[in-house]
Amino acid sequence: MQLLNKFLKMITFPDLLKGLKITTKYVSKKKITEKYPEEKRSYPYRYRGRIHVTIDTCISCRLCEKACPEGCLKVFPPPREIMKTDKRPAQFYFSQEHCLHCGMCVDSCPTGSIHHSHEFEITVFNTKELLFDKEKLPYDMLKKQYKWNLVENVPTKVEVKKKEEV
Amino acid sequence: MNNERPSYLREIFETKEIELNMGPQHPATHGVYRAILTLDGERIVGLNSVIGYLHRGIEKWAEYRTYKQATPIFDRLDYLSAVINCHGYVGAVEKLLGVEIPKKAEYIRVICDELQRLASHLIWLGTHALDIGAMSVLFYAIREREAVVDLLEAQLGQRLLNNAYPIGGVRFDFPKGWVEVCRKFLKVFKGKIDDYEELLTGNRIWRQRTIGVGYISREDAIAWGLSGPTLRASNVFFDVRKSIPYSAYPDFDFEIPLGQNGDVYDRYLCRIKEMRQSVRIIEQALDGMPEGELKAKVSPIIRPPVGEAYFTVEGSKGQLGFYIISDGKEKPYRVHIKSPSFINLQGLDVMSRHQLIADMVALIGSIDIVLGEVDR
Amino acid sequence: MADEQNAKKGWEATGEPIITDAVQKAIEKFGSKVIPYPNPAKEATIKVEKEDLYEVLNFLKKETGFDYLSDIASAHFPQNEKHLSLAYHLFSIEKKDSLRVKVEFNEEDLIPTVSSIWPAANWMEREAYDLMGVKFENHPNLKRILLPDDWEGHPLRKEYPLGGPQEEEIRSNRYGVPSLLPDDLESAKKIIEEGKNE
Repeated sequence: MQLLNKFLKMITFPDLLKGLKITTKYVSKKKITEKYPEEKRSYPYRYRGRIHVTIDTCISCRLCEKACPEGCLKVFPPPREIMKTDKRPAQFYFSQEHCLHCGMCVDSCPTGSIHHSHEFEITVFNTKELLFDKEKLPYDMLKKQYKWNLVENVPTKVEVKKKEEV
Repeated sequence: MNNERPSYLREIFETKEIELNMGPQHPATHGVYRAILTLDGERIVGLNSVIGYLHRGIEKWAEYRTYKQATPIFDRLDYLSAVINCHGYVGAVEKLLGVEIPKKAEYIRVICDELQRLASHLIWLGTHALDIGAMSVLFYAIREREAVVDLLEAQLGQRLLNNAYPIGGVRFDFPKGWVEVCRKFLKVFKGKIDDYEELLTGNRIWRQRTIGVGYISREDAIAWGLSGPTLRASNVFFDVRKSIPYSAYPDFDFEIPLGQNGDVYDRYLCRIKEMRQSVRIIEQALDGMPEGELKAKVSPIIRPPVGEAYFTVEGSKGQLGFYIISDGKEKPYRVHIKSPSFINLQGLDVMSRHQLIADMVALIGSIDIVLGEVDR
Repeated sequence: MADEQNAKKGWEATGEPIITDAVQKAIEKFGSKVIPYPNPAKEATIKVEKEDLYEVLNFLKKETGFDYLSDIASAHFPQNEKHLSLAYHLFSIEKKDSLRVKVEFNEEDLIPTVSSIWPAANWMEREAYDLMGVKFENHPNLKRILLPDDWEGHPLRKEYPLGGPQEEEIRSNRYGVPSLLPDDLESAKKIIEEGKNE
């Protein structure tokens, strides 16, 4: 009887048919793949895309520069006379080429001027295009039209405070 | 042996050992790993591993950064389980500092670690099955991994190289609705593991390709320093989560699956059972989530006391250890990494003795190496 | 001033030495050859001379059940009297006990290999030789493992530059972190202009 059972199992392939059953189960189901360039998926709130700096709220404290493990940020504070009234940096450099997207600078910022956007399509043909200065950095961010609203998704700490005050 | 043959036979069937290169660009070596095989007919009689193609000097790199800054680079070790790598390094620094981590942070860490273990094992399952010839498992494994990675992305901010934990705790609590999504996923995922098992465990082709292949005995496995599921498949009870308890693992009730024979099939079964245990741990952690702080008080500039610490975690590949020497300054004096893949790859020499060359692919898949961790 | 003094003396580990059963047994057997070593993280550590290393490790495996060699880590201390050190991390699978054995020596000294006690030490020792330049005696295959065979120098030594001996020196920013950003405003502006024109 056992031998017969074994023989039957050998010629009827129950184990292989079981596997086939699972694969055929998905024939009629909806596809789970996304058509990426045409359809963009939504990103969670905490997604760490390219760095975005709100220069107006920056106080040139250089803490982000100190925290960066790759040294890809550089802040030039304004001259001392101006610093007393206007603390905005004279120049601000950021190199996307070496950025790890680790979030150390965002953790360290006391005013929340530096934060991650949801921009991830950062490929370029020339690496020289990956160095950003004060003028180029926020401009590029808003130029591209994305599905998500940048200001709503990534509020700075200062903005949150202002909203609360209102 | 050749001499015993009659001379006329030797003239016709003269056998000679030949050398064959496998890799560095071979799809089944899971990276840039080169094996120089010495073959006698179809049997492997010698193996010479050539590694180091992906050596990036991570240990040297870390010496030039402060303790905080060095955290993200260790994600690049085993890029398929970055969260666990981060836990290992951060844990070593915390051990050196003597910081007590809040209970809630430990629970969140355990949940993220176990999710990452699931993701890593799913990638292993898909690629290992693909190497042996079962194509469809890869699609299903990647589909579930996508869900895990989405969960990690919502919590940690990145999909693959998520600089997961700061020194002293975790960055955020779970976002709104995350716990419900996670529970839903775990419920579905249990059925999916059954699916994988139905596709592979009983499958006669799978069994013929894996049972009895790449055997390593209990004594050899310990002596060659293997760890993780590769060691446990040889019936050795060594799991860092139970043997050297860390984080919140003593709070949870889970089993360590052991194999009996130490072959490729047992290693496969061990990992599949481990996935079920991971699901169990996550469910318990979600149920018993305590209230409290997210981060212990750590001074912004970290200067650990002079001395050394060795902290190990159970990575998805095995025992992952970080040995840190501090000279009392802001930068680590020396960071040494015990990478499980590196040590497990050493045991491949023993496992591959007198195996067929066609089984080499199954063998490399079964020890689950990631070359980023081997070469550092 | 204090830094200079420390550099001359070489710094000592803080904390208290931890004495476990295994350490006690080793002290009973070897007497003053085995010295308990302080550790801030409360890990059992002993220090031995390189002449006694093989004997002590063999005893620890055979008599106290440390059957699993977890790791061999090397370190370089150019400011100390003895420049190199090795730390053997042992673990006992049955007793769930761990122990670190430290040994200090100089560059030219030969260290007995433990690959006859634990075969796992084979690649760990090759790694220590490759990256730190520790020379092992009677090792079955002491060759470079992570770096190419014709590499010069040992990268994890403290005097080895980050960018390699032949390569250009890597600049650091004002916080001591290696950085590839242009230093002055002029060159940065130039790069950005070139980038815009592309």
